[in-house]
Amino acid sequence: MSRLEPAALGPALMAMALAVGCVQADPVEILDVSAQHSDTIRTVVTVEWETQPAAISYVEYGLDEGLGRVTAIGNEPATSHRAVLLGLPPETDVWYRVVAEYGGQEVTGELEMSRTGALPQQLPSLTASGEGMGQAMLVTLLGSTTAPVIIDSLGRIVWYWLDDSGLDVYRARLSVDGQSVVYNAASVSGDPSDESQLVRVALDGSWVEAIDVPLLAHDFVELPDGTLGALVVEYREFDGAPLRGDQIVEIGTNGETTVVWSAWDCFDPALTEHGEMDHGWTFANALDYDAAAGAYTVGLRNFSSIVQVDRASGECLWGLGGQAATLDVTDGTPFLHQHQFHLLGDSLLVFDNDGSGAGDSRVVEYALDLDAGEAEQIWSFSTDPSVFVFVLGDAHRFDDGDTLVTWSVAGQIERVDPSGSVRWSLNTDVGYAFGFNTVIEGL
Amino acid sequence: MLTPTLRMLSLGLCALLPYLGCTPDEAPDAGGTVTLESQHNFSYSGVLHIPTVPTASGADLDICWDALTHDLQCHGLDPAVDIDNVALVRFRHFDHEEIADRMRSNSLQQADIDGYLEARNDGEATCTTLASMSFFGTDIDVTEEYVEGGGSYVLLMTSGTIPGAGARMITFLEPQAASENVAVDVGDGCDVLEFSVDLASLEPVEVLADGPWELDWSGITEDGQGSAIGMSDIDGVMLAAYDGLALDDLEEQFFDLEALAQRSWSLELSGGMTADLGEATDADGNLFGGFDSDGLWVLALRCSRCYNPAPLFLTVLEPVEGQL
Repeated sequence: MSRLEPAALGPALMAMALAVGCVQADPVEILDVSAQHSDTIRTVVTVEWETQPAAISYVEYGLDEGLGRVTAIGNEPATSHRAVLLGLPPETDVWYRVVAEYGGQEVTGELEMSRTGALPQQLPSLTASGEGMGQAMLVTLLGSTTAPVIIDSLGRIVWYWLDDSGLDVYRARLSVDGQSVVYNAASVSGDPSDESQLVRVALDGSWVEAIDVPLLAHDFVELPDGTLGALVVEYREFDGAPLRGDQIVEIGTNGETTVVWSAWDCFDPALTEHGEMDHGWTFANALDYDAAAGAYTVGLRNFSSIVQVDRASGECLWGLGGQAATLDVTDGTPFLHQHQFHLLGDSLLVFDNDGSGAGDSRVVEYALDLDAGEAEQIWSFSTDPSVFVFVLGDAHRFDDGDTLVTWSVAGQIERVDPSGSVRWSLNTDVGYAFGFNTVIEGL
Repeated sequence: MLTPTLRMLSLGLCALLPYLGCTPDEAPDAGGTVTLESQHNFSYSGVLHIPTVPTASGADLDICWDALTHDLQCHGLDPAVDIDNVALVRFRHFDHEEIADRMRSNSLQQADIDGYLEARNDGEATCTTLASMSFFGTDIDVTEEYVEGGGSYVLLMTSGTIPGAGARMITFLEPQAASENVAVDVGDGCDVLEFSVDLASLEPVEVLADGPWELDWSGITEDGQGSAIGMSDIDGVMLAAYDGLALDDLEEQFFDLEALAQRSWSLELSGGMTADLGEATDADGNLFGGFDSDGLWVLALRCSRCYNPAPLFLTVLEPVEGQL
């Protein structure tokens, strides 16, 4: 517990005195400081304390006495405080101290120590090698365990949530308000699930909310206003039988559900049949949203196509690859059965599961010229030794030109530079795969 | 054999440990701490002699295991009842020797695996076919996926269907263009695992006969094979009493440690590097109450997900009266 000089005046009297500028504010007291790691997420430590009088207060913390990290700083003075320490590896000492601001003065509590707990045995051992990952990532684990996890730049699991729904989890994203993780509990192997949900978990594990969204597919996004846009399977009659297509469904912050796009808006199954109709027609498997353009980008696995969809009209604006192509690939090889992608303005980075022709998966980048209706392959990367990723897979381009590649079912993540040199890699034990991956800009 | 599904392979060869409880992850009271270190650990060396069955390439196979009456650890089994799952795993970049060595050293990674197929058993059959194997309902084209030059193929027979546990037998299948053999008869597993165990050279650990028994293994650096120990791999503790047996008896029947024990207690771990033996329970759920005999006491730290069935750590406990 930290105890500083007691306040000489009650809050009301103090406020009056400060208002007229006739006294120096007495230091705020920091009282009853306690810290404990969460039982459900043992890498998360919660600090609770009181201040007298009400003050703006936060926690500085770190893995040594130099601290270096700061919790969120609120706007409203309060007497009871709670802060969540994030980004901590398991079974590690954590140094922290409370800071309180009152009357233009800052008071610092004593330096104290807590400790994170052990990871659950259900989580895999991760083996990191190399240097230079630099950032944390939010990725899902599949296989022996189903869980969204946050992995720090050293390859350590610093946050996790064990999903017990019996479904798979393909995508997790940090919420736009930074307070929770949202993930999809769904099934895309075989038939989609009527029980699928979008699940929101507080970063400290203190609450969980679930939104029922039947027939969820691989991916979803959270728009800047908090609206969730998700890929959902849609069935319509075709040739006397149900045909599996896809929709983009939005769930507003008020819970209202709206279909903003259907594959039938842009395509006709009579004109776009393919060899895998038994497993679905479009088989949408990846989704992104460009807030500036007001457009979704959708990956259609069975078309081997990526299309951009205007959110307001549902119109398909352009398509690259396969059945939905409006752009001609003037140089390079097309992708096949792709999964995630990263739209970079004038280029598109694609995780290409089958397109190399050699049984290897790869990441391939195309320069886009939408005005000319052309695309040109400008970069590609396959790892060594090669891996074949039959489902999932993700690619992300960093600002410095490096690319983060998630070789999902191979249980491998790599950061590679533009020359194709692997700067950092991460591998799981046998029995675990990665889902889609989202880079976190600080935690 | 590459099919769109998201449940992944695990190749654990260990029998499932009984999961009987949990342990706290708090640091133990220093006064009652039983500190386990590398000098207390046993020595183990082993080699997997995995049989190879040449077969026709690109052809369906009849796979039978009615002759599989003993598993890798030479434990008896009922081939119809005890084999719940038959899996075929493809490794693209490793030959047979490398696969066996990586299984022995627990160093296989998910990225090493190129494909996975399985067929569930109904508790009655002792045969299946390659063509009937799938990945959760998605079939394969064996003419394309099971071919000479396509990689190294491992046939796994497992008890249970939970990835990561229960493998009972391993066989290499080798598609050869010149072969016309389409029959795979999985044989007895007693000769697959050749091992050597040294329990006599370890430094026994003294423990208070009346407790407390707070174990702390954070100081262990090597497993029984002399490799860097994977702390996160340790998911169980076993304590066993062997009245009337000597160390060389256990060395000779090392994979029968549980069967040989007159009494045994176990703990499932939820992570961490400490545990309280007082929370270990026997098969009936009774808590360990103390070292009640002058016989041989053995403590093991186990890994249910490792390929190698040997415990990562095993030592002899010597109960003493009074204080340490």
